[in-house]
Amino acid sequence: MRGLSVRGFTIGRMRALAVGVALGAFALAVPCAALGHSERGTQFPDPNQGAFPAFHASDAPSIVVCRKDTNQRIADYEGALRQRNQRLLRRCRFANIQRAVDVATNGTTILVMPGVYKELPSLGPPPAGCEATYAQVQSGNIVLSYEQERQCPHAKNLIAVMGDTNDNRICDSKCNIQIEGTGASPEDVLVQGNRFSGPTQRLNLLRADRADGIVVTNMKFEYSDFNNVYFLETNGFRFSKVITAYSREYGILSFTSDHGIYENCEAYGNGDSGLYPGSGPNARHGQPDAHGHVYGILVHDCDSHDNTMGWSSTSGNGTWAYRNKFHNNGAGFVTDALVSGHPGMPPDHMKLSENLFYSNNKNLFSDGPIPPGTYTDDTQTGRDEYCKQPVSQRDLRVVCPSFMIPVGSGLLLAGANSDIVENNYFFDNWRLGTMLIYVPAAVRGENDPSRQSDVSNNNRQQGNCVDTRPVSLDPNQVDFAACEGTHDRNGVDFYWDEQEGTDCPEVDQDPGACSDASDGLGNCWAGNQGFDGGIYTSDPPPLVLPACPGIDVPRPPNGSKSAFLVPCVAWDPQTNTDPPGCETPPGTSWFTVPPEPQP
Amino acid sequence: MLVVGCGCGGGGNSGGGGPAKARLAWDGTPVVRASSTGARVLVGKVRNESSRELRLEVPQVALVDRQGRRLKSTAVFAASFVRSIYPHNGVQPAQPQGYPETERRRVGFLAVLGASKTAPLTVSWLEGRGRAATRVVLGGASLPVPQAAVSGGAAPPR
Repeated sequence: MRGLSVRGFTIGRMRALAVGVALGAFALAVPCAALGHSERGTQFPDPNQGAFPAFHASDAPSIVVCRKDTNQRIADYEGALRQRNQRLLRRCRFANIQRAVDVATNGTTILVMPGVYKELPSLGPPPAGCEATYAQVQSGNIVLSYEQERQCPHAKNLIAVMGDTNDNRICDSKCNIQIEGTGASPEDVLVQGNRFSGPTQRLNLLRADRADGIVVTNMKFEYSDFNNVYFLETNGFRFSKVITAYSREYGILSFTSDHGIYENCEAYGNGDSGLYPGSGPNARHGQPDAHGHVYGILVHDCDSHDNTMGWSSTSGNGTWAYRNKFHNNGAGFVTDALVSGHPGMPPDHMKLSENLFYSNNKNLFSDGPIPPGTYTDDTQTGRDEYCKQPVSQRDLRVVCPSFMIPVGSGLLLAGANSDIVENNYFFDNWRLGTMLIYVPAAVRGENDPSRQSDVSNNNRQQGNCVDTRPVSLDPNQVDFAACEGTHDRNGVDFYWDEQEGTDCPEVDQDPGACSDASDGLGNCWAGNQGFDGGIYTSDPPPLVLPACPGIDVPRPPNGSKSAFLVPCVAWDPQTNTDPPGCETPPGTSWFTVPPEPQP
Repeated sequence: MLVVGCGCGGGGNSGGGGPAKARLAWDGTPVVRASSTGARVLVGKVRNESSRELRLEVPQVALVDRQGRRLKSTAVFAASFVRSIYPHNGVQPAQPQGYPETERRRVGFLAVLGASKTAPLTVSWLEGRGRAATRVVLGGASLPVPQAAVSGGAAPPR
C-alpha cells in the first residue's frame, strides 16, 4: 500500500501548487443538473476546508431515539451492550430519527436504539407553506432548490439533515452530527422506506445536504425509491458499518462532496449500484490538497454484491477504493463519462488497489417467460419479462436493472483518465476482467472540438492478479503482493478498445482549447500475472498492450470493437431488451451471461 | 441521393413548418461490421442535402430487404456508446420520446440536421436466412446498405 495520505498526516511537496490549483477549481466549479435523476446544480466544497470526520467521543452531547419495542429487542443483549442500551432507553425522548435531527445542534450524537424506523411523520401531507413544493415533486419535477429542500425537507426525504441556513453552501447548523445505531449489529437499527406506496413515497431515506462532518454508523437502510443514503455538497462525511439494500437505484450515493469515507459497509440488491461515489472531488488532479490528501473520497472494506453494478460513479474523480469486494453483481465496478450534468468531467485520478473483483455474472437480462412459482432474485430465466411489470407488482428484492451493462465484467472504465488499477484480484468474471473504452466528450455535453478525445488516457493497470481465486475472500487476509490461489478464469482478462486520448488540461485548469500535452504517458499494463505465474489474456493480445508508462500518441479506437458498443444505446427494458449487435467482445451479447470459461 | 418527405408528423418535422421536401444521402460510405453471431452493425453518417432543417427520430428508421420487407433492427443517431441520465427501472417508463430535446439528441434518439449538416447513424440487425438487408429507409428516403461486411473481430484464443 503506497502512503498517499489516507489519514492526512503527510503534507506533500506540491502543497502550494495544489492549494492554488484547488482554489482555482473551486471557484470555477460548474453547476449541474442531473445524476440519473434530476438534481439542482451543485458545486464542489472547498477542498482546503473540511476534514475526514472522526467518530464522536462517548461523552459527546447526545439524544436518544427508540421505538416502542426497543425494550424487547435489547432483551437478549448481554454484558456491557445490554447495560448501555438499558441506560440509554431511560433517556429516550424521540420515536423518530428526524425529530432528533430537528433538535440537534452542531456536534450532537443521535443514538438510535434497536427498532424499525419508518419515519411515518415524514410521510404526512405537506406542512403549511410546502403545498406547492410537494405538488411539484408529485408532478414529477423533482428539482428543488437548496432552500426548497431545507424548507420542505420531507418532500423527497424520510430523514433530512440540512446544514446550511443561509444558502452560502457552508455548513453552519447541524454540522458534525453523528447518527449511530446502538444495536449489536447494523441490522438491529433499520430505516425502512416504502418505495412503492404511491403518493407517500420518498426518494431518499437519509439526505445529508451540506451537512459537513456527518457520521452515519451501525445501521441498515432499505427500500428507498432512489437513494438509501445520499450525501450532497457535503464536506466531510463518514459512512461506516452500514448495510444498504434494495434501493430501486442506489444503496449509497455521494455527489459533489469531499472528505468522505465509505467503510466497513455492505450493499446489495440495488437496481443501479450498491456504492455510487459520483462527481468526486475534482480539484486535486492527483496532487495533494492543503491537508495532504490526494484522494477526497475513500472507500474501503466494503462488500458490494448482487446489485446491477457493485459500484458506479460518473465523474469519479479523486477517489480511492481499497480492500473492497465487488462480486456477484451484473458488473462489478463501472466508472464513466457517459452522461451530462456531472461536475468534474472528465473524471480523473481514481485509484483502485487491493480489491477483489469476482463472479460478476448476475443474470439480469435473461430471456424467456416468467416461470411459474415465486420469482426470486436467483431465478435464472424471465428477468426481462419480470422487469416489464409495473414497479408496484415486482418483489422489492428482485433487482431490475436501471441501465444496460456488459454482464460478466469485473471492471469497466468508460471514459477515465490517469486512473490506477493495481494489485487487485480479478477472477471468475465470465466476460471480461477489465474493460477500458473511450467516450467522446459530446456525450457528456462538451462540444469543444478540440476536446472530443480527451478521455481514456494514461490509465495504468499494473500488478494485478487474474484468473486466480485467492484462498481467502477476505481482503484483509489476502496477500496482494503475491498472486496465489486456485485457477478461476475470466473470459478475457484485459479488454481495450485501443483508443489513446489526448492529454488535455481540464477546463478548470485551462478553459481554452485543448492542445495535447506530451507527458510521456499512455494507457499501460505492467506486471499483471495470470494463474500460477502464467500470462494473462487480453484483447488486443498481451504483446500489443502497451507496457508502462505507455505510448503517448493519441489514436482512435478500433472500429471493429467500438462499432459493437453503439447498438447497446438502444436497450430499453420495455421495448428492446436485446438490441442486436450490442456485443463485447464482438460475438458476445451484453445481455447473455457468457458461458463459464474452462481451465 | 434520395428525397425525404418531412413535416409529416412522427418527429419528421422540418424546421420551417409545413410539408417540405429534402434530400438525404450518406456522407461517405458507411461501414458494415459483422460478428460471429450474425449481428451486423452499420456505422455511417447521413447528410441533409436540402436547404431546410431536418428532424429525424429513431422510429422513422427502417431496414428493409430486397423485396422491401422490413427487418428487425435497431437504430440510433450516434457513433459511440452513450446512456440516458434517466434510469429505466422506475415508476414511470423511461422512454426517450418523453425526454427533453437535449437528452433525446444526446442519446441519439433525435437528430436535427441543418442544411448540409451530417449526423451519425448506426443501424444493427441479425442477418437472417436469405434475407439480406439492402436499404435503410428514413421516412421517405432510401439509402443503400453496403453488401460487403467487415469482420468485427473475435475474442482472442485462450
